[in-house]
Amino acid sequence: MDNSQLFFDFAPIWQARTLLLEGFGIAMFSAVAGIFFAILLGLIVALMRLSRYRALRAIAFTYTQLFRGVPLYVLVLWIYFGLVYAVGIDIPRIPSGIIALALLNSGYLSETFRSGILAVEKGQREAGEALGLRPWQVSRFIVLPQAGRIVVPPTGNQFVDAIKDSAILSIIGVPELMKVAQEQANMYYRPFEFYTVAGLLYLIAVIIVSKGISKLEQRLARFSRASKEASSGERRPSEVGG
Amino acid sequence: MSETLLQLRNVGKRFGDHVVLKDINLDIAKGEVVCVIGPSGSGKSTLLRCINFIAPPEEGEVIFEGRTWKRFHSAFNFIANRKYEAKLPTLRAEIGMVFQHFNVFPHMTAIENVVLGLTKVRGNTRNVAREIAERSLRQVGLGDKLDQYPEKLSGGQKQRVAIARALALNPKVMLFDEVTSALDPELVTGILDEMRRLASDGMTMVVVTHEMNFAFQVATRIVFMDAGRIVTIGTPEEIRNTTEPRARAFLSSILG
Repeated sequence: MDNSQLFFDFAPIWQARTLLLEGFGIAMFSAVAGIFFAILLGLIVALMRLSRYRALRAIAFTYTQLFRGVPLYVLVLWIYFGLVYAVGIDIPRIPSGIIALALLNSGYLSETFRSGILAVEKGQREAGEALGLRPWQVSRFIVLPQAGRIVVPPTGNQFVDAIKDSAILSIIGVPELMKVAQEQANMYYRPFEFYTVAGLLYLIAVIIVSKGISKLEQRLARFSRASKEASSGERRPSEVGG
Repeated sequence: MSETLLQLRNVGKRFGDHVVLKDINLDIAKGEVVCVIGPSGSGKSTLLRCINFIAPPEEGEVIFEGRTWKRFHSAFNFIANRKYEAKLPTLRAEIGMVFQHFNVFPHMTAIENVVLGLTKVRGNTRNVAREIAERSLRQVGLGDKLDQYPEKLSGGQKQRVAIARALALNPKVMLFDEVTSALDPELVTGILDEMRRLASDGMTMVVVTHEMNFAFQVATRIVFMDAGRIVTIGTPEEIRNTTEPRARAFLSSILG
């Protein structure tokens, strides 16, 4: 019986396994690199938004609005094709994709980080300043470590989104999982099988990452409990007076 | 009376239109224990927080060991203000502060809470800092809790960590901001005893408190505040016999 007569046929998957796994690797690499730079950029932008200088706050606010407001699809095309034609900056496919993922996610993460920093009880900064620590030392040793624990879950979610979003990089020809799946699906004329497997691979990656994040969360739980207790104390009306 | 350590001159503070402190003048000598009392909302805590500029006063100046600290107002003094702000940590390093809600750092163990200031502010090596921190924590009775996270400590123990954290830096004056108000009643005495010990060791202290017994026993002078002003200052004996009507009313409402 001819293979093409079968309703389901996963044999081509096995034949294309190396290509698929390579694509999967590139997808994961893009997502990890994208989120890595997004965390760096997001932190800088969050600190700018909390700056005492209005100009820095304005720049940061615009940045956040811009990259949260533009679809990833547009951003990817703009960086890969737009920049070459407009200003002659020719960035290869994979770096273009990583930059797009980093910019988009940094917009969201800057908001997450900003609210995480603001969630650290005010008395913590005051206690640090009262010791005679310089403002940057207070941020570095007292506020940011506590904010970091607060933002682990939402940052994990953002990472999960980045893994799934990396599929969009296929439009500029990044040879990641979705691009490979598309090509192979066309070649073997087996779209159902290839897209199913691609979907499953994304799903597996997402499940593993989610598990890792909740493990991390559990390990940090003792601190977050402590800070909740402290912040409920903060709201006591007696503190306002005196 | 020995030499003056700290002076507040015409200190004033407002939050928007609301005047919190007005025209505060207060001289504190070395070794004095000044207790600040008054109804809630009278500006006691704000006064304390003006001393180390955690809540910088908009008016007046603070003179600490002969050096004047003040904030300039006009926008022309932008650079002067930046300079003054950059130096504030050196003032704060000489002033210890303990808070109502402890404000211990929850992500650090007891000893790490104390070590932080010793290494980053005083520039001690980690080993020296740990030694000093351990001694400091032993002094407040936490020798067996060095490596505990604050979450595992009672309110009283957290407050002891906060006291040890401030004392380890060997400050010239200690500020106490209603430090027993958030404690369970049975833990209050222990903290007050700790403060009595400090006072008898000769530490200069400014204490905002609702504990009248403590204030009348330990204070060298008592400051009574109302509506953002110092209404009257005197020895415990003078305050007990004051004829100032608002102070009288406040004391009789509390002491019965």
